[in-house]
Amino acid sequence: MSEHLDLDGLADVLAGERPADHVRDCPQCRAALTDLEAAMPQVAVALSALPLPPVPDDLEARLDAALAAERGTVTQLRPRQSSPQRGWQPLATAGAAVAAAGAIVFGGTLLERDDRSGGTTATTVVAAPMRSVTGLDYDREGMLLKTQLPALLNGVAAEAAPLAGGDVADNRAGAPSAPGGTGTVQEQKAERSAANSQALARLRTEAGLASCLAALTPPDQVLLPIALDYASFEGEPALVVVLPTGKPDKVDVFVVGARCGQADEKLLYYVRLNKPG
Amino acid sequence: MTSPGDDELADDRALLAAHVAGDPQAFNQLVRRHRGRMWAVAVRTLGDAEEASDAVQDACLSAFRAAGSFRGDSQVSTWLHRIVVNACLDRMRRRSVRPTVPLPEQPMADPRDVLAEREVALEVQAALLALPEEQRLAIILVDLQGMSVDEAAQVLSIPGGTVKSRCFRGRARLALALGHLRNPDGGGHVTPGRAVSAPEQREGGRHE
Repeated sequence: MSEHLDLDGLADVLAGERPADHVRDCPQCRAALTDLEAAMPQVAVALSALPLPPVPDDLEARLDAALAAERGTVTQLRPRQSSPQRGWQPLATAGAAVAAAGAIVFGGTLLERDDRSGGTTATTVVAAPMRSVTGLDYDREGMLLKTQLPALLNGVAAEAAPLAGGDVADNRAGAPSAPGGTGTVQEQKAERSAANSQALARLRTEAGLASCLAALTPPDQVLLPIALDYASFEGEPALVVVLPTGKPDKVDVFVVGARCGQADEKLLYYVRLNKPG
Repeated sequence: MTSPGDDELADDRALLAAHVAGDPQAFNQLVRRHRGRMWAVAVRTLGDAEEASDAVQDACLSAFRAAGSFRGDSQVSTWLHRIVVNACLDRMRRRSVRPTVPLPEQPMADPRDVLAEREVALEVQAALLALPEEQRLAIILVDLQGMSVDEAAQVLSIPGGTVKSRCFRGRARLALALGHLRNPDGGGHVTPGRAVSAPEQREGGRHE
């Protein structure tokens, strides 16, 4: 007994990928095949009318940033926005102005004053980013960064190592707090954190951070960070900078080296992530 | 005589070779040449613009890192398409992505035409996204991207016959889903349920 062909069987016959013997002998299958063949031009028309969503305006800049991170080089890192976005534009304008002047005070509390600025530069108080000093060592696998993002955005970083100097108010929460906790791991973390803290000292000054942010953004659009984390990246002292995007549910995360904003700056990593709800 | 197509192929290879040799601008230039096509494959495969951007970024980084291992036995564009397809498949498998594509605004004279066009396009898009993954990819490459069966076979790393079969099976399902079959029951034996199960096993056994 010969079974009728199903839809895929008929399609294979049309494709010439299956013998047509059965169809020749079976009126029902022959009719179904004729029906299917007649429908093919209509399918082609339907497919040809399918619109293609336009390439996002920021795709090129985003790819450039990702490739720059891959190379470890910095040249105009920040993906460009196609148009000003309501909400962050006023801050961006303020940021551009103060970045040009070289002085930003985030909420008036985060950053040390840079003595070299002379105190004569006008300062502007803008919304403070959440900042952390986790001492975490991020890597290009990106998982740690992804899991830490909610805590960084909320200022409750999940892990922190003791700071040397304690000159920056941080949002450490859940940090090891056992009295006399001087185990080897903790000591290593403390040493690493102290070294990182020293290396990143410039980026905790207003001028230092402003120059870094200017490097992360196009000349006409300096954005202010949502969150900062003074940490390390694959063993190297690093600052994690979380910046807004044109999309409310996305953030851009840049991991920069200690010399961000200087001539030999390094972009260590870039990724666009979903903003936790 | 050298055709413009040959020039383009030579340029692609030259850019890739320059990148491998250390030219810092060559790879970006290569990406700029192909990003439109890479984007088209990604957004049609994933059905979500943001996921597609992520996939193109993943693909670019993969290609950047793997450039040294490009052997030159296919076109650079074919190689890039393969990498994009793999990036899309990775994302689909990791996240079970299957959203619909928000369609772009298309200015037309009559608003009723706009609505009708959008409705039809949404219906086609939904039917395309409902296809089995391998049939969708074959149709995207051949019917939407205009690749030859042989080129699509190289991208998908499968025989040409399998590409052809997947295209026809996918088109048949689209015909059924879009109501283009006059007799969708086909005498009682052309049913969606039957079309989904057994033939997939035969396809795998015959072509792969």
